[in-house]
Amino acid sequence: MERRSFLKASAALSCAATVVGCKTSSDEANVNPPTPPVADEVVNWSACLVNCGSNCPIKVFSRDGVITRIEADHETTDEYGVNHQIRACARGRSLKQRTYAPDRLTTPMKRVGKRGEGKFVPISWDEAYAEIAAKLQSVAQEYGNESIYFNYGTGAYYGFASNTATWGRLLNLNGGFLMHHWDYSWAQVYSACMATYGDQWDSIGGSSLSEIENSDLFVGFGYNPNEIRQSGSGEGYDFIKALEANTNNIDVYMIDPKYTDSMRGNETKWLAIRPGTDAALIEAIIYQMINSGWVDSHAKSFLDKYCVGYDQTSLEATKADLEAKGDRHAAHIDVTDNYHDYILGLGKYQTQGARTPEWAESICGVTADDILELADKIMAAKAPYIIVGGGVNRHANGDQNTRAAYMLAIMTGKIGTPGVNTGAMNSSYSFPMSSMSAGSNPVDVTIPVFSWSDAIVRGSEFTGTTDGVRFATSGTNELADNNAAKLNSNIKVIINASGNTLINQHSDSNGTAAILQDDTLCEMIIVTDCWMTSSAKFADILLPDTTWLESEDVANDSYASGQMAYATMMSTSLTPVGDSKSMYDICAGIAEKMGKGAEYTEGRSGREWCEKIYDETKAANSDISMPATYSEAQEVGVFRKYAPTSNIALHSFIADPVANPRPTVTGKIEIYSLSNAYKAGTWTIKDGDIISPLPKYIVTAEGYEDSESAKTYPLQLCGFHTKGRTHSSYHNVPWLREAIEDAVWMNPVDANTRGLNQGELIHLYNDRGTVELPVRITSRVIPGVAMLGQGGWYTPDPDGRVGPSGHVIDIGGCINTLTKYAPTPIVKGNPQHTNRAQVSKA
Amino acid sequence: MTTNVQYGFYIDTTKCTGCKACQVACKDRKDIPVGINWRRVYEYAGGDWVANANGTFNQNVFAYYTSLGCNHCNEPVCVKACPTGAMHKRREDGLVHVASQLCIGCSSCARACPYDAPQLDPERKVMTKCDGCFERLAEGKNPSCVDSCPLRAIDFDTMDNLKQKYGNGDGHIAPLPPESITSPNLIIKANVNGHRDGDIINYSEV
Repeated sequence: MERRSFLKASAALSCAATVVGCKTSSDEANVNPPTPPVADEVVNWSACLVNCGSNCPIKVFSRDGVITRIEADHETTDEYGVNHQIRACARGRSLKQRTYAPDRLTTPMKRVGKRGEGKFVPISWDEAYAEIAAKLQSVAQEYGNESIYFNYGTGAYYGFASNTATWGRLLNLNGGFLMHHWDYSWAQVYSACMATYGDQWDSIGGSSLSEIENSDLFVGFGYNPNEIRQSGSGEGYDFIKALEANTNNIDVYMIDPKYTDSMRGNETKWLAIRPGTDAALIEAIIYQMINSGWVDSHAKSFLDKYCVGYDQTSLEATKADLEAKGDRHAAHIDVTDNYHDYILGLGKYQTQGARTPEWAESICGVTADDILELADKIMAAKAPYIIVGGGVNRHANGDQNTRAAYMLAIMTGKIGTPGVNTGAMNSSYSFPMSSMSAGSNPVDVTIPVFSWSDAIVRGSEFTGTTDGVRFATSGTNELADNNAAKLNSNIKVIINASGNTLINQHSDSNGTAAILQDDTLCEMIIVTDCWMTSSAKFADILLPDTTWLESEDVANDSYASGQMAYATMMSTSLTPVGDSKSMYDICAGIAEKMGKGAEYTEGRSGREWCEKIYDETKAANSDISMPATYSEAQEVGVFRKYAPTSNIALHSFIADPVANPRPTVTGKIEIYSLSNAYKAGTWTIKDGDIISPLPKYIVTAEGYEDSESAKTYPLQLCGFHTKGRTHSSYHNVPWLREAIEDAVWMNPVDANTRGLNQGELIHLYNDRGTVELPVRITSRVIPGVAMLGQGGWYTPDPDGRVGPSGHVIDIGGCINTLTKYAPTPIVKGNPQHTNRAQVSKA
Repeated sequence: MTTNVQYGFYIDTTKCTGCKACQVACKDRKDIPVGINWRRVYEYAGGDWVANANGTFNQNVFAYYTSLGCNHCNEPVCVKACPTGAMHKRREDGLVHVASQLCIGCSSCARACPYDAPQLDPERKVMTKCDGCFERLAEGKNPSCVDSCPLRAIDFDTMDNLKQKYGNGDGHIAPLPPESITSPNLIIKANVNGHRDGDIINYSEV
């Protein structure tokens, strides 16, 4: 719709006419006369269960089993920190349109065309159950249970009938299945944390956002809670409230390629940075801290006491200690490879040179003046709160960039004190909740979450040293040796439930489609979803799941809901669309065909499981009042409580490092990662890949400094989380597509050189594909970079139009049509934001 | 005209993140189709980039959002422009409503309004707009947009009460037109960049 500019309009309308002739009353003329409350409208509590970090309660109004409207939590007086409301964002408020979307799956179906073509015929539930049961049993027999893969899927975080609990339970009763480790969001955050602080979950164990109140300097790298955590009781709201409550005149520095909605005037300064170059900027700051003598006078005692690897003396002591213990890591320590020398360009780094601001500025795009200003602020701060968001890790060098940000916090020497953070994402409070056990899985290895498409082709070659296979028992740190882990089979069956990583949220969608289309490789793909997603189109058997709003279940607050924990006891008065069923009932049907029905259900209906889970959950939350029965709790709907204390990250380690060691090899913070050193010495990696014990700025293919790819593809292409979806969830909701336009963000400089006009259709392409979308020309993105909100549904043009890349044009706007499948060196994670591309008029 | 009570909105442009929960909550209430937005969120941005010879940049970029429904103005130019009397201001609460059976869909009101509040329903050929959620008010509730806001950036009440709570605010900032045109019942808390020159960059979304 064409709209006038306010400014233009206001210039034209210069008069302030006196308005006369208003009607005095309009009772008879209202469009919608007030109506008394309709007696048969009923209210139920449900919840939005996507992967944004919060599970907001949803108040569902319905009549005769059909939704009439949606509201959110508004049951309290909304005092922050006392009883504040859990207000859903635009996505939650759009659930009526999503529930009744035209592409709802209404009946079980079986593929008839080529895989991925999206041609299906309806089948009965009985046929579906029988065929799936037979295939799961025969494949386990022929190829082993490792050939049955459960794909990553985060579109429905039920507390009871979740994909992992229901399908996991079923597959375990069939002898087990191949599971992945880590996730698409944070794979390299985990590896950065395990290398530095020891535990995977240190990644989200940072200081509470409320500690910002005690800080005098906030430094955020790719930190954008107001777009990523939109819930009205989530981290975005906590962030704003913490800044409001700060009385230290806090400075806020935001480092990001995009001027995000977490800034909008809150910031002291936006340092616009080129994607993937955070480590260069950070190293220049640290150079200034060391070279000025500040580290020696302010932080050296901290580094000596709590860390390993700052200087050669530290590494020599560590090597001697580990040698004496006969530890396998000792042999791989190079004492000359220390952080002090690396930053200052001394010793083995003499040729490379010092990491000065003048070195960094032309790489990262931030001027040396700005780098020095931030360095001064960090050195002067009493309590710097430094945090790195997840976007920084989804690069080809993502774990190194993330570790660099941790180094900035470590080099201040102030970790463990009020107002200070480790660089990790903040901790959130959570509501303890019971669940249905998935049972135990006899398959003893897992593969990296990103590697499944490759494991379809050559999984039987995967080992610990070549492809990051881990023993399932290896836990959340790097103390175990996974080098001997091995996968014995290619993937032959994929279960893809409540997820869209099968084609959309993976990488290289066109390349992945080619692997999936060969049905002699992966022999069966089973998809459970509510809508015809791009992944659903690749199913052999497609099963319609009920939506959250049609389900009785339980929901906790998810994993990043901020300082208030909550739970929703979900109920429904809706008639499920079509012949859809809950995943619990679907898997019970398959289990029955396998002769495992009784073991699967343990004699309980879905509701009876919810009652059991409720009873156990009530017992685990004796600090708050919860009614005696699940039924009564469903009437109440929402339960909430607040974190009793504010978390200061690593507080107990700093208080007593001997009694509370970190789960690293040395028990200390490892600036020089012993586990990385061991991997560097024993793993086989691709040419050009680097495994570094020290956190370093690493130049990668398709990064800013890849001048070769820049010749053809001059733009860096970087994704972001759009406010209009959660990953790919909610893409099929017209209200949201209207509210948050899917467009390629470009700086006016780059748009002008290509002669582009605001809003016109463009082709964004590289060797892997072409996407067609409008362009959003905006000063909010750094020059040289195109940005695109991730999660649009991969849709090769049905008319077969071919784009500049030679591929059929993706008219769905999926960024993964352009991202590459190139697992990162250490964790074999997804380098989603490291891409090069070109733009032309469509 | 004088009204017995005059309702109005308060918008905090320092808090609004452009999440559009208000816009979608509004649409859900009355099943308003795509293309008609009783509440719109304007993204206003500006600033310049200077590219330096060594590959670095200097910039002074800013952006902020303003959520708008109808300001139920004291001098509603939409009412003045309406040839049939369909657009009218209610004496009991000051809300500006459309009497749809009187509306001929001529869009004069939409052309007159500097806030884009009147939104033509092209199917029914009648004008529609923010009605202040009058039936929710009758139940003692706030408009849907107010209660939906995850950032608590929108408030609604009688203007007397709003002025008691917020004073007169900071005055209207871009991209809003001068208040003198319609005497809107809208109190604004101004973004720190509210004085700067920029552009609305999301016409496709509003």
